[in-house]
Amino acid sequence: MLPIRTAAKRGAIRVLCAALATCLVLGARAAHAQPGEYKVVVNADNPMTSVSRDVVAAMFLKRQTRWPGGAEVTPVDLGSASPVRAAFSRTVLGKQMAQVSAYWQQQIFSGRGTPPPEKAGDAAVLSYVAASPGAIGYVSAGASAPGTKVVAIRP
Amino acid sequence: MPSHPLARCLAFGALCVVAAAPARAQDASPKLDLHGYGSWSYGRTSDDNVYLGGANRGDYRLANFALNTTLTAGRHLRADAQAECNTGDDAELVEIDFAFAEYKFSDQLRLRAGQVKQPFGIYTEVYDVGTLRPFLSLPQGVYGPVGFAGEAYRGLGLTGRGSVGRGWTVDYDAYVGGQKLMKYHAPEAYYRGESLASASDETESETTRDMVGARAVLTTPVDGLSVGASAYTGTVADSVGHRRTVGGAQIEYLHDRWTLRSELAHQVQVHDELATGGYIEAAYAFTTHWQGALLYDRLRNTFAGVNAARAPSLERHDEGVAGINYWLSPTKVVKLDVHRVSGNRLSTPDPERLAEVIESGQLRTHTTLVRFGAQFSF
Repeated sequence: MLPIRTAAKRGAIRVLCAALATCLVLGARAAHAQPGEYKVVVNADNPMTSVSRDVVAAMFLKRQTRWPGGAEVTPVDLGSASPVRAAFSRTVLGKQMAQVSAYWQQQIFSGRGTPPPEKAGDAAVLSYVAASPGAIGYVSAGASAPGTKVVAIRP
Repeated sequence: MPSHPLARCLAFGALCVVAAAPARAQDASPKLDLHGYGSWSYGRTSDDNVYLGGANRGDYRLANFALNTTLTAGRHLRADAQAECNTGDDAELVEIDFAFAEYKFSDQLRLRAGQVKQPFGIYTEVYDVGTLRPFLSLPQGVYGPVGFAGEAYRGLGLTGRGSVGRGWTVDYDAYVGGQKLMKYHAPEAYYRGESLASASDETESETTRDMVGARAVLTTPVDGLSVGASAYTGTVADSVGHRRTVGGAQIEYLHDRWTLRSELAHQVQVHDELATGGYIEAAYAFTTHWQGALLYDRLRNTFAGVNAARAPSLERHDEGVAGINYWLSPTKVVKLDVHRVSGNRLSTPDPERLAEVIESGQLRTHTTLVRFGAQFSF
């Protein structure tokens, strides 16, 4: 191993210190969302009463784009900061939110697809699902779901 | 147009946002999605060698910014385009990464036409997206300026996904057309006694015509595990028209806190050069925010008809990298990487001084590089 120049060493130490200081300051602001519970809803005219977990995951990742009857699937998500979405992603998609984000970045920047629309809350998701025949979404377990139908998730 | 490179980039970005805004606000079909990414980094090397934008005096100018638009017109038709501006090392560049139209017959069959991201290996389609990798730069043994794959092909392609058994799926691509790629030309130019008088002599633009290529990636029933292979062949658009053939294999495991990737690529350019590169990359998320990463990277490049014994280190590249990242969110990250490079295929003094440094016996074959930077996407 050849000797490293003193100036380069000093530069490297300065860069390291600056990076660590930045990360420590930012780290103090870290917060963790607690997962919530959810229920999966579809349009009231959708004949399905239950859907397997794998199929729901494929629909939200846009790997399956048709319902068994041939209608186009139009999934809708809650915002990325929602604890309900975090719980849904973990238990149905089998991914942490960071992995879901990486999946969609990969799809977007390789020109292969775009993520489902994100809605600000339960009411906006329910409104979207009620108005779209092929829609599927999820909301808090305690939310009332007029104009939509709750479907069971099979393992 | 502003004269400073960064100002030009910002002006370019503002123009794109303004141009996209009216269509986005309509919230009606056709639908326009707007995304983007960017990065900045500082790099400093331990000696006169320049590597990944890092120099002995330190270099803070490496930055890029890209905007990506997707226009969806109905169920079947989509158009994608991405423009990117790069600055660094006294140069600036605004280029179209890809611009193509896609017609979807079904999930299993989509037809693409235009300038399309070249499907080769794990990272080629997301070459500059810093939030999709654990280090500031991609592994240079495969993705460095040595010519395994271009960023895009121009032509026609088919792509799709299908199930091939319980828990197994395959994603495929097949394409025909041409490509242009850039190679770091200084080592070969030195061997061949060519001029390296200006910065433009450092890189060589190489066009491949009559290209046929394919990639298949198999997702296994093991959660997060996929394997794949890519290959293409074509004719180099030079006076002789040598055949150029490149093949690669990949394996990727993404599970919870772990990210493991490895690739191997081999290139044969008849009567001109051979190259074999590969890497192993591992990253582990200690918490939601902190991630550590390690990389081993290797490249062997031989040039036909030269006397490499004059400076054998110009044909090889071995590298180890350690990195630590702080993820503010899945789309914003601060990274610190330490590289240790052996060999001069990709790490050399300024090319105009290369011959002088080699002939005076002062070529350093080992380089340490420290890089710090931030990357984001939206």
